[in-house]
Amino acid sequence: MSATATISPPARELRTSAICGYLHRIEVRSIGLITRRRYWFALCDSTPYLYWYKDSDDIKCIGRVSLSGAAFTYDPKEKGRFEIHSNNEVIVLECSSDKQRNEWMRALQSTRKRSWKTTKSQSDSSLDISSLTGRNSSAVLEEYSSPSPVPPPRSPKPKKRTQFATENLSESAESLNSSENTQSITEELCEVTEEVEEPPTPTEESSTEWYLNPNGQLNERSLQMPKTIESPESVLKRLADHSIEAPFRAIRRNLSSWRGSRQNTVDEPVVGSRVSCRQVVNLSTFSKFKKGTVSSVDLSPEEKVIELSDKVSSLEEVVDSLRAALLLAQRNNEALKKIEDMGENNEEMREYLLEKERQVTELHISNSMNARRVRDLEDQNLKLEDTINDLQQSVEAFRESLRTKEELILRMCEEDHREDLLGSISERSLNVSTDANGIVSDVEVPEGILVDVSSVDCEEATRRLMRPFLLFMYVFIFRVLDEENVRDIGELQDLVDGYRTQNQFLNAEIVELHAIIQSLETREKKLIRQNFDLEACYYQLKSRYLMVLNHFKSPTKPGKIMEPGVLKELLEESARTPRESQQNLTDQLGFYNKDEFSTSDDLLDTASFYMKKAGDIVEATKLEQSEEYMKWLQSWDSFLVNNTVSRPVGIMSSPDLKTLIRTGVPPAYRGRVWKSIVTHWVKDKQAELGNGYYQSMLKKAGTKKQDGSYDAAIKQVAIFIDLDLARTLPTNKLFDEPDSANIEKLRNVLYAFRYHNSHVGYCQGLNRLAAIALLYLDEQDAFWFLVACVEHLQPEGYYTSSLIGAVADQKVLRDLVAEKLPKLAAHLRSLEVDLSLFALCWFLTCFVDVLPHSIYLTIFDAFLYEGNKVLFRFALALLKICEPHVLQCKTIGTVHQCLSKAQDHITDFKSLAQVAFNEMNPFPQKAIETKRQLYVTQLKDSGHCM
Amino acid sequence: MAARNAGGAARPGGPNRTCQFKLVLLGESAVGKSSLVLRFVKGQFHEYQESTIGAAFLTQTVCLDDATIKFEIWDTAGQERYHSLAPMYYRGAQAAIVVYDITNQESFQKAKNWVKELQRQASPNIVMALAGNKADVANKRTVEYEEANAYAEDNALLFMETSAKTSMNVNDIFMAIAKKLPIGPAQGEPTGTVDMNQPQQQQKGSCCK
Repeated sequence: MSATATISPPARELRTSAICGYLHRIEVRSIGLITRRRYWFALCDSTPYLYWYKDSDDIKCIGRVSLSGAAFTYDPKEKGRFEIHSNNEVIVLECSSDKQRNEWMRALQSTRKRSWKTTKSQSDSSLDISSLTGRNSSAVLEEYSSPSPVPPPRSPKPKKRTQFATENLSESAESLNSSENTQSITEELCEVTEEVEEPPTPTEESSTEWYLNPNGQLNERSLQMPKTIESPESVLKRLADHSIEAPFRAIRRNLSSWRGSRQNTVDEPVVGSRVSCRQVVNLSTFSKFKKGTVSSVDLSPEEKVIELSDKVSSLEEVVDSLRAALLLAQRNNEALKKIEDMGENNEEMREYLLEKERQVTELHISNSMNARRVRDLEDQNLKLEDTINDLQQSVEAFRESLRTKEELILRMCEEDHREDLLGSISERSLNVSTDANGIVSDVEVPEGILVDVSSVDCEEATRRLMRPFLLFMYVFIFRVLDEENVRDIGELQDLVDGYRTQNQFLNAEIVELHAIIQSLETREKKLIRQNFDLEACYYQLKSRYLMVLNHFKSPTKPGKIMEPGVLKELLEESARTPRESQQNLTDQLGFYNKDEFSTSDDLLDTASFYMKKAGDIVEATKLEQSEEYMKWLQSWDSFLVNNTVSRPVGIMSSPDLKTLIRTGVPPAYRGRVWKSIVTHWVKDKQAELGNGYYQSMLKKAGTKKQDGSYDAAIKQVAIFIDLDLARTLPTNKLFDEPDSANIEKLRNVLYAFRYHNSHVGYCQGLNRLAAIALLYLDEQDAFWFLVACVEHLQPEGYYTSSLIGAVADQKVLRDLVAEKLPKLAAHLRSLEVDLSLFALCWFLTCFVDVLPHSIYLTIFDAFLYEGNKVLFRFALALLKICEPHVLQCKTIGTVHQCLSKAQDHITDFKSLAQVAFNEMNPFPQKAIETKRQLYVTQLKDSGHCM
Repeated sequence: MAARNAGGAARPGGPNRTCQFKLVLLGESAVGKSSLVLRFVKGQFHEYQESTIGAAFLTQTVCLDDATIKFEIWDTAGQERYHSLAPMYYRGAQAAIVVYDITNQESFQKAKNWVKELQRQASPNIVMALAGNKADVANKRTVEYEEANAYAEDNALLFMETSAKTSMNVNDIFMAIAKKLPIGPAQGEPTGTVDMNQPQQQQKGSCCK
């Protein structure tokens, strides 16, 4: 096995447990073909998916599986193999060792746990829908819950839940530990032997019901570990005790009851032969029943013999007593005859005599019947004796087989020992297994005999009994065999240990899955309620809307006209949509939402405003649900997972990654990606300057500040920085006031940078870059972000005192416009418009000043990865998009106006990026650099002036 | 010559002509150039107006008795290192407002430098105004009105103390400039063919320090 899994240390900044490595994926194809492919698997806590890639460097994944609702299982017998059950799909993976498997299982579980915890917290914090009437949403919720409570159907649900749990765990439930199984079987067996009549409860049911009670809660016992496995001997002994004791008990019970009844027969004065006859009948049925009981018992032939002889003697006694009764009757008869002789010959007497006669004949008949019954009983007796003989024979055979087995065992032990001495270990183990098989087939012979003589119940019981018995015999044989062979028993113990850990794992798994299901259920309930709320809201709105429509449609009908104030009220109400609430004044990044509605009296204006707003919301939602968007997110997820776990620090350069970054980074991942890219640029510098460099720079700034001892130039810079702090990103809540959240950080970053790069010091515009960085990164990373921008991404001299680099780039841009947009260039030239009047700040601030943040942040993504060239691409794209508008302008003034509003023509990043990255090609970096070099030299020669 | 620059959209027979003028704002960083323009153009004021990078371009139209004047306003960046870009913006401007902060003596000195530079390098007929901004915080004043006024008179500048915050004198200073601008007779020149070539050419040779 070539799988080499490396467990990377958890990425520090994310505090996640991440794992990655090569695993084999085993797939069973339709025709039963099994394929085994090696992939690079990566997992980290930030995403609930397990991704696999062709190789460790890959950005695009081959596949992924959701872990949020997955169940994991493994069979300890299969080394390193485990299964992920998710969405009715089973993924079988194999790693090189059990230890690695444990690592993977742990990582998988923790990832799953994290994922549902985050979804839970997300759903907890999800926005409450306030009703239109301004009622508190919680009050509405209460209203919903109190009059028509929707209690979850308690009783059927848990069952489903167990099913759900076991569905995914079907295999795990089945293999729910062989120790578990055998134990339950033995328990069951005891039950069966004691109460043969009762149908046994199926094993599967008891094992599924075991963990959850009907209320869906865990049974108390379910969290405990099952009793540890007893030694095979003790189980065998217990088994034997049970199997032998139970029939014994039954016999004893029958015997005593029978004896009691016999005593009754004897002690009772013989009132009438009929009574005793009935008793005999009873007895015979009793004996039949007893025979049944007796025949159900197989392992006690001796007892049976005693039993049967007892019975025979008792029957003889019965016959004796019957004879005595007959004698008594005859004596009676004689006495009566005497009376007849003595007495007068009257009618009465004759009748009496006749009666007596009839009684006598009846007695005769019953007597003969009894005699026949006695014969029957004797026949039965004989048969029983035959059975006894059979049983004795089988006992003999059994003993014989036991003896042979013992001999065999002994012989094998000796052989084993000898072979051990010879040293052919592998051959021996082979022998052992074949021998063991032979023994198993030997054992089956007496079973066959037993089955032949037993009744049906008995047969089943025997089979049930024999199954574990055989198993334990097997184990026993191995034990005996291995008394001198530590290796094999070690293997067995390993297996037992494996089962034990598997059991532990599966228990934990079930508990966790259960928790997940519960949280999902609560979430579902919550969502249903929210849904109700929304629906109510919707109908409220609809009714109002209809009301307004009616108002305008039929102004003549008095009933349909609203009161004058109502319309205004409705308008005010509609302004109070949930999205307008306090927290939504800014977006997630803290930028104030622009679309503040200026209250207008014109109803149509209001209507169109809301229509646009509704359209925007619908559009945004649609976009978020579109397949493309999901795909985009997934590709990022796939890249980040592998990058996080494989390269905890930094990012590598690859064309695939370039393409991916050009699509923009999802806001949720931006911080991580930016940090990685920045690290990629400055890691050499960081290594050179050492840890704590930023802090030392800060300290420098701090101490100087207290001394008040900076020289004039630096003081000047500090003043400028302080002046600009609150003037940075004024549209963002985090920066708009001198005491806003991020101002202090911004100050620190800019101060530190001033000391880090005294050549640049502070240039207006850097505050923008630092502030943008602080939206996603912490102070220190923002500092390095600034370093990366100024010293790595932008060409030299961009922010220095003469801005020579930026000025030179304006000339480069002019050349590029002439090349790529000749019409525009000609038009601008003819009107004597200087493009750099506008474009300079595009380059200095990376479009922060001109474009909306949703777009410039995406430009930053590409800029960070590819550098300054991207700015040219976007500048040209911007110009290309507004080219038609500029061409329409016939005066310098209108062109200026058009260019100053160039951003108004940009609707979204995608169309801009399409132009920037596709329509501008070819776009050689080298040409730009050559041109820049030329212009920089020119500017230097001419003393730098435009 | 500057009079020719007014490219009015001539309305034959009507007393009202539209003339376009290029106006540039100069001054030290954070004296309130952008705030003045924002107040004048949009009537807004932001306590923390974003610092300007390069320059910002805005337009505003004012009506005089006999003409409509359209200002094309270039609001420049104040930081010293953007200074070298300034000629690009004031080149061909017919009007300039040099702004200083009355609470900041240094900014006044800087304003004087700007005036000098304009006198030396901008169009000779440029209409210049000096604005002492932040008049709303006159209690922190470090530049006396008289001092500035005297300087303005010496250099033939329009002078007003303004406050973008309270909008004091903001419109007035622009109106004063508008009135001072030469509104020539409609010449049928197409709008926009502003005669800027001459000063530009002049400057190309002279703007380098």
